Amino acid sequence: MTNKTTDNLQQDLQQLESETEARDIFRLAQARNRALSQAPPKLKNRFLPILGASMASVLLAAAFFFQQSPLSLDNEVVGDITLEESSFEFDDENMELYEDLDFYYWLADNDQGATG
Amino acid sequence: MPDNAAKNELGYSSIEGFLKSIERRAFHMAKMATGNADNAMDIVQDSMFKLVEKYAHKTAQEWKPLFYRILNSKITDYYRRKAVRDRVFPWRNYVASGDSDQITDIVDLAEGRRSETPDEMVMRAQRIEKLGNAVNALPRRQREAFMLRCWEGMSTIETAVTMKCSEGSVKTHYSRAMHRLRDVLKDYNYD
Repeated sequence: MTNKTTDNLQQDLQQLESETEARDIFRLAQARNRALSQAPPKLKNRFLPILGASMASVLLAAAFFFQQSPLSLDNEVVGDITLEESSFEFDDENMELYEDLDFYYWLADNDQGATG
Repeated sequence: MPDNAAKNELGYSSIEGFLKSIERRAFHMAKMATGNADNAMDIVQDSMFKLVEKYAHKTAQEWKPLFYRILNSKITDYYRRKAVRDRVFPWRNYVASGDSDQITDIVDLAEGRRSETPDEMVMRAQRIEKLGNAVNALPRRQREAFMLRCWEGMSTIETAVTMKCSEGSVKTHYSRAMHRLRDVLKDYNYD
């Protein structure tokens, strides 16, 4: 590229710079004053809706999840268990049977070994 | 703080004067790199803030390379964040495409040179739009070299200090950037 080209490019870029909109000049002055006074930069407002929406969806999902779990337990599992079944683990006889289960398994294995 | 002797040479003696002298150019550089005025404003604001916070005690001669180093670093951060955001929220690209009208607004807003006819103004606005797109499409280091050398008018040494690379690298990046721009802008009478 020739020097003339570079000059033309520079001229256009400088022209662009001199045509900065008044709104942007004002915002630049605000930014400069904020930097000089070392006030923290203004919060980027446009991210707030996105942040709010994502927080809301997380909360909604959490609420839905915690509401669903007890319902499913009530309807599908607990609802089908009869009073007799629910008292199974509190029955002494069954508890003894459960405790001796290993013995019965061992006995069954031995019987199979002896016959087979 | 620098002494008043620096004012004669550089055109500013305080950091406020320096920021005033540089803010519009920095804004347009950031706008050209990001394609968005709001993002450019945030980048310039953060760069100013960091310069004052960390380097206000340095000499006036050091402010310019430091400021542009911060600015380039902020622009790079913006690209990184944008890449992540585009992966997570790919649909946001379509929403952001409304910014493409902003450059054509220059025609409406610009006062223009006194000698220019409306046709010339339109032509110049189109040329600047094309230039902006071409600069935005340059690889990062080439764009930095072009902006600092051609726009800011820094010497090769100053550019090398700002970009933290050798003078040879600056020459290579700048030369490649100019060749690429020449190819893209050949129809716009820059030669």
